[in-house]
Amino acid sequence: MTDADEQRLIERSKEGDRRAFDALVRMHEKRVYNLAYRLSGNYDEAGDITVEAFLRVYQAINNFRGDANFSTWLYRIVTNVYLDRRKRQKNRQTLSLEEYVELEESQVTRQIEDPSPGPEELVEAQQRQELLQKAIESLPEYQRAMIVLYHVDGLSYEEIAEVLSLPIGTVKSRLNRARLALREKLEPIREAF
Amino acid sequence: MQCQDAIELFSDYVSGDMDKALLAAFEAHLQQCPSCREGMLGFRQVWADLDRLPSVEPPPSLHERILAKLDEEPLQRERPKLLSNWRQLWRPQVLAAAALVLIVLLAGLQFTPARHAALGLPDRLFGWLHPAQKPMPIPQPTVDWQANQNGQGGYLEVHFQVPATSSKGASLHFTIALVRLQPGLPASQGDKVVIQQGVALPGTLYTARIQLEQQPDPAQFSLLFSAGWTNDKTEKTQQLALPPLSNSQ
Repeated sequence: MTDADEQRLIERSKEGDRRAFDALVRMHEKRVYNLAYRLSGNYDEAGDITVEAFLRVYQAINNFRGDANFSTWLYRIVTNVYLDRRKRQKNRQTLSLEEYVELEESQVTRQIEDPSPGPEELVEAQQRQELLQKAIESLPEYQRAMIVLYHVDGLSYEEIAEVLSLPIGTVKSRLNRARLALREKLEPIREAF
Repeated sequence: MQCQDAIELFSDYVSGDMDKALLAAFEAHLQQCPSCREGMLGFRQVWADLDRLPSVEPPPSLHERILAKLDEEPLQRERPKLLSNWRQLWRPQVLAAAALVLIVLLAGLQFTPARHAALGLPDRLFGWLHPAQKPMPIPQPTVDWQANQNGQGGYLEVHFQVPATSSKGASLHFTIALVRLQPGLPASQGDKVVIQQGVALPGTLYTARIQLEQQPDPAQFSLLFSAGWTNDKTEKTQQLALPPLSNSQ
């Protein structure tokens, strides 16, 4: 699928062609779900964010003028959906307790469950990934979004600045700070391996 | 270079986003500082781990869930305001007003600015029909040198006020390059190194800070500042004089 094909699908979606929009969803749903998962750290929430983001895209597609990349525009919507949800959850103040319980349970599970047999390194790598995901989740929202957009989605500093509507210098310095924070959080773990 | 300065540069070092002079200063610091060296090892490991985060597979039902949600919600497409109330356009009062505007417009278009003058008509009557296309203003930066307290190097600071604009989504792209002046050649043809690129938002006072190992001599170097608006084809390159060498050097 080329950019021109994508452009045609966008134009047809603007005219209300549901099959064209269906094809656009198919093109992007996996990346949107991955971004949502890395931001939220939760599979169920990732599904909810993905659904809500595509609904917003469908309603607002007439506002997409094509002067930006469609993916960048889409990522901005996904990031906004995620940030809005966090704001709502914080207002309800139920988040910290749920997260705490979830974290406790997953730690217990990790201790009891013996991972499927395989090379030791594989297990270590998997544990490291889980711990890294937890560390990402403990970052402030904007830093977390930047880390995911840069390392998981491969966006450039310029594209992230556009997605988050921030100056590029801010993106660069906050990303450096976020990586330093992750290093601090993972340092004791790295020594253990 | 102090540890705090070095830490700020960790990302630039891993991504190879440093000019030669800065790279040399950074590596010299790593050589003599075990703590930063150790820190850099951990930092590279985190970077590599982040790049290796695996992708996750969405549940098979996700696609159907998205489509079902679209069916569930009545389509409330965001439209330009005038079109969202298009039925109101057909009201007689609106049609009459539109017709009047059209007549005035057509009448005005018969006149060029030269004809206004010939007929002795004041420009403010029809002048607005022939507005001069004003390009968006490009800021005029000022440059400062902030020497480090220990007398080794410092920061070159380029400040500029990005004008506010009512144009939605407009932002100013800029590139700052350090250029080595060559006798008899304009600055634009000297050897240049891009030291910062970015996007600045309207209405902000932007400061680009560039760390350098030593203060560049204005007799040998100059700055080129290129900037343009995203929604406008205006692009302008200005040569900025560097501040005179401070006494410490």
